[in-house]
Amino acid sequence: MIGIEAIGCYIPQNRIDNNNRIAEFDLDENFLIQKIGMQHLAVKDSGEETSDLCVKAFKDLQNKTSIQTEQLDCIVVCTQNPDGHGLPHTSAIVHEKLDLSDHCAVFDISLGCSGFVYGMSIIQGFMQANGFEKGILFTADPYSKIIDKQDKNTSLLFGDGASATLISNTPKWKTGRFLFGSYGKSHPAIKINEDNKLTMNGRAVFNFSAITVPNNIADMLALNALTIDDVEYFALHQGSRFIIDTLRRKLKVDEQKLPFLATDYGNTVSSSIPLILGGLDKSYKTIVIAGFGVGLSWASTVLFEI
Amino acid sequence: MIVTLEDILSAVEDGAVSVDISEIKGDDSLADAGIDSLEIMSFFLSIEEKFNVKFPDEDVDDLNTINDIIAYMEHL
Repeated sequence: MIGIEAIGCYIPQNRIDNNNRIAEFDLDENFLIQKIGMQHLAVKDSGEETSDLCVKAFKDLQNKTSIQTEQLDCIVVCTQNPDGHGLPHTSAIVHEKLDLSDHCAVFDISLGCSGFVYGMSIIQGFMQANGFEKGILFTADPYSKIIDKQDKNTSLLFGDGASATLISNTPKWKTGRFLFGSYGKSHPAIKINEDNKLTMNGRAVFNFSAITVPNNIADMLALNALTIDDVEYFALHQGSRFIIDTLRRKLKVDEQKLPFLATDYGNTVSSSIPLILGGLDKSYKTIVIAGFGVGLSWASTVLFEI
Repeated sequence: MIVTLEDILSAVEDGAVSVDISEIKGDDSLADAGIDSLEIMSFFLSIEEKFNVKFPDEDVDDLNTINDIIAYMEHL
């Protein structure tokens, strides 16, 4: 059996203070705190590349485990903001920077906010199909590369971060059944425009999140023969405080079980879920993870503590 | 579709907006009543889900009161 052994995290130290920007967007402090939720946004150094974020998350993983680079059978990088122009794949550059073995398989996957959950299924399937024992799923999608600083819909939301999830044969968590979905017809809701900047239709994304995600979680739990009451913790994609508050209301769970935790660093896209899991200070027997966003795409599963 | 002020107010889910909407009158501005730019999305979503209708993005900006919504829904 393979599953998650440990998660390394990296959040850049540099911060944008959104409190200093609310006048620019004609917003008040209460709206920033209670609705947007992100008071600060983590932002990488201009010289830092996506692969550098992955390497720093790996260093944190090494501080938490005894993993040696020569033990790795594969690494997967989930990003839509790769190094350079995306060719070569960022995972090849991480391979070089970590001095991994020639026998280590590497590839990228292109997904946004649903990427960690999809990635968990992809890397575990790949490892099981090939008899691998150690692999790492990286997430690093620095939106600071594509943010339009004048855009009210996005520039107060997204922060930079990265994660390195060690999948191994000595896991702490195993995954249950996954449930995925896509609304390809709604793909323009979050996209890069002709000026190479991010645009988002906030209402379309909100409606999608409020309707689709609770239904997906309910169906996924049924697939795992669980109910909402069986779940001890929900690590959901941190789109904004308003979206998390809405999902909490729709799922009828309390804030302790389904917290908003991105106040100090922002929406880190595919890293938002692993950053929560990597920072947990107590154990939970059952954790629901659900990612949703770009695509529009969504995925959920449940983690069982071993 | 014919709906009333009461139909609209009862369609809005508990917690969808942070203000008490029970006293809102048909011609009151929803923004002036304290429903902010995010809560208005939640407000419209409640109505869409309750009555199985859709308010296109290009029309929502013109629906500033409940009477506007009632009049719009007459044509759905």
